[in-house]
Amino acid sequence: MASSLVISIDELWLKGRNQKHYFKAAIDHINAVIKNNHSDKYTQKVQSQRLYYTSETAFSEEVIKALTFIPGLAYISPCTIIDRAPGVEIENIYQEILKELSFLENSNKTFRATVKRNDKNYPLSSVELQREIGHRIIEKYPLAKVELVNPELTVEMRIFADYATISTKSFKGIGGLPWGSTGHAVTLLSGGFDSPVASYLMTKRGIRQDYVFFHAYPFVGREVLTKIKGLASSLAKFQRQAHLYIVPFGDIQNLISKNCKEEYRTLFFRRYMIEIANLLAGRIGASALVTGDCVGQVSSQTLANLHLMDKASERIILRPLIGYNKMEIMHLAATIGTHDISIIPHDDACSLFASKNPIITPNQQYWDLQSAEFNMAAELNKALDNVESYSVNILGELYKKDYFSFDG
Amino acid sequence: MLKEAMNYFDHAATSPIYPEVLDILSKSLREDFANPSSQHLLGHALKENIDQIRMDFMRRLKAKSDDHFYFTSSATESNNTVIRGLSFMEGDSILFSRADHPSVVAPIEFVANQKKLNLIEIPLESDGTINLEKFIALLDPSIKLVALTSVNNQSGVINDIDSLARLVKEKTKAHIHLDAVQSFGKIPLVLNPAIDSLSITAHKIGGPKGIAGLFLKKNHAVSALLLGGGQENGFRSSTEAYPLILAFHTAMKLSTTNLEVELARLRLLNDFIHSQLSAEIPSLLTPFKKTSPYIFSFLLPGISSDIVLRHLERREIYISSTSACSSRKTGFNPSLFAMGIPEHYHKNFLRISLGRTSSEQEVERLMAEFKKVWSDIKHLKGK
Repeated sequence: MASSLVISIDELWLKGRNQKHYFKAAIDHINAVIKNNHSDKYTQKVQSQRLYYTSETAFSEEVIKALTFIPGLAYISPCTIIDRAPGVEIENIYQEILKELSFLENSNKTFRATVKRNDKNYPLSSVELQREIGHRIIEKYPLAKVELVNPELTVEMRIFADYATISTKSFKGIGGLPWGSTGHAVTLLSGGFDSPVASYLMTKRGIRQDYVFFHAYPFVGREVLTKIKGLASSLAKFQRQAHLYIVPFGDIQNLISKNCKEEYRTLFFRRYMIEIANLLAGRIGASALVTGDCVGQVSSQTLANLHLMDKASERIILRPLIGYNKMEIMHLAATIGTHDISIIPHDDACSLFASKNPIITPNQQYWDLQSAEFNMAAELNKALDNVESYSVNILGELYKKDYFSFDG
Repeated sequence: MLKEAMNYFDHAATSPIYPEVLDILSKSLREDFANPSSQHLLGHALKENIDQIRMDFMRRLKAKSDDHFYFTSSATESNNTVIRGLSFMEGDSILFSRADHPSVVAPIEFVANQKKLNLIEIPLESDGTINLEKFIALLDPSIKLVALTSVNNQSGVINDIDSLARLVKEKTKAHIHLDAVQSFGKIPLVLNPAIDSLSITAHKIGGPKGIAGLFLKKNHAVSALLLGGGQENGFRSSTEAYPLILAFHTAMKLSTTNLEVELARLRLLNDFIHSQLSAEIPSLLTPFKKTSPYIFSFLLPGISSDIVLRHLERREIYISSTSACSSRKTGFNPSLFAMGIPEHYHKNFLRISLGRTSSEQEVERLMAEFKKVWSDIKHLKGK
């Protein structure tokens, strides 16, 4: 008998011939998480599209919790493995189950037993086995009740050729697709509620992300960086690794403010953020941008204004929150653990520069003319050359890079 | 020591170490490593030196020979030692000012809360000075501690300690504690006999961090904060930091040499800064009166002072927005509030503080760069 985890992969059936690729991405991520959270040795095997991790010492709650954050995993179930070597009878399995369920003593929990036979040669059918297990449980723990729909407890047994597994608990993973299996993007983090949630949603769809933050120094101080680093760190539970790039943006903002119509300031700020994010994506080989945009939330998020951003971007801009309501975003932020960081107040240069009447329907002619006049290429590259960069590991620790190397 | 290209105007936060002090400190760290409490000759020799230095500090403070002077790690420790080491009874009062340094205010609020004491605030005028008439009216026998500050670290206002101390002793038996951190070694200081305890520190006068002093009058009722090996006559246990004590002493001697000449020089620089900035920025406000020549504090309405500070730091010029101890919190500043500065101005507060290394050229560069920064960002005013 050993302590095991059985992990099922989400959406794997969709993947046809690419299954192997998705499987490997998930396994690499799981191994990285277990290595960092479990000090003992463990073995791993794949059986019937499920992953079995076995170790002499039990996997802690922390390990299991960390696994639930890995994109692409459907369920993580701690289980007991029982040997089915010749001579080991079904009676042993029943006894193990009853031992596992000792917490049902004096408990009136509802339960159901489910059995899956991977070993189709087994003499009893799944239904027969389920019935027998249910019967044994009630006999031993008479207060427990059978409940087939929505039971409080599901006792799951799987029978393989040379062993059986029993599990009584199951933790839902965030699901989706394994990390990195669908591409690489640059995510624009702002310090607010939206962008971390957007990042999470895209991680859940398998997109590996590096973060960029536009730091309006010297108009805002370095305090905000603590918050941004906190967000990057908090999001690390969904990513195997990431980089955080802090781009000095204050001088560009001041330049824009002095030279364009006040009501266009924010739009031009955003435009050049998008352009820098594209330059960064080019340097690190990312093929998309992720933003926390949500239609109509603020004036720069009108359809017309969003369209201008799309036109300024060489790469697709993913906006997973586009149709979310603010409360939905806040709830998700609380669920993924970024809410309490986002809520910390910070100096924001946008309010310093913002116009009281920002433009909602931009004049295309003015926009094009002013964009040409700005001739910002040198400034943007300069900003990117002075980027401050950190690598974020799987534990959420940030390491400052001494020099900036674009090795992704 | 200062880098040549750097222009440092935050001497009230801390000062660059005198090169002479650094030399003495590093030599002493290397050679005088013995424990002054050791019974061998090495220890004895250092112990004797410490006592000689102690006597010199007391002589310069004009303390009596049966008073006490202890070395501590910081003025914060000195202030805490007195405030937390006095014994209070429920219902006793403390007279203090929230305009003062947090190392005075925080322990006072702590003991007041713990021992159910009354807190009475020293009334300030809108120019940061103490209103003497109102001050007298507050004095009553329930007051057991009066905490005073010789020079406020933010406004630079110099308080008339002699008059205040005399008034307190006429009306009460309160212990008078003086935080002299911003005046010791900067402004001629004669210890008024009414003062019961006084805190000073090395790093504001060209000495190293980690060493400070606490004067206590004889027969004081303060109990020790740190217990242990019984150093400093049993009042402050901790291995004596001889090299730091020696460095503190050297810095003190250097900073009190030609003090009057230095004061006059800095007064001129301070006035120059004032006139230059007022001419450049008509909206500039200078609410404080009777200020130390080492400190020029002002308000820049309509623009967050941190923005100016950061624009200057990029040019390797360093000034201060609020006291280094509270500048991380944004917005409301309790000290400024106590001085009657309306809350909406707190983010507009800037302090330029001078010291021994401040030169005319340095101040001229500050003015030139300040003007450039101002013209670069004044379009954001009112935001």
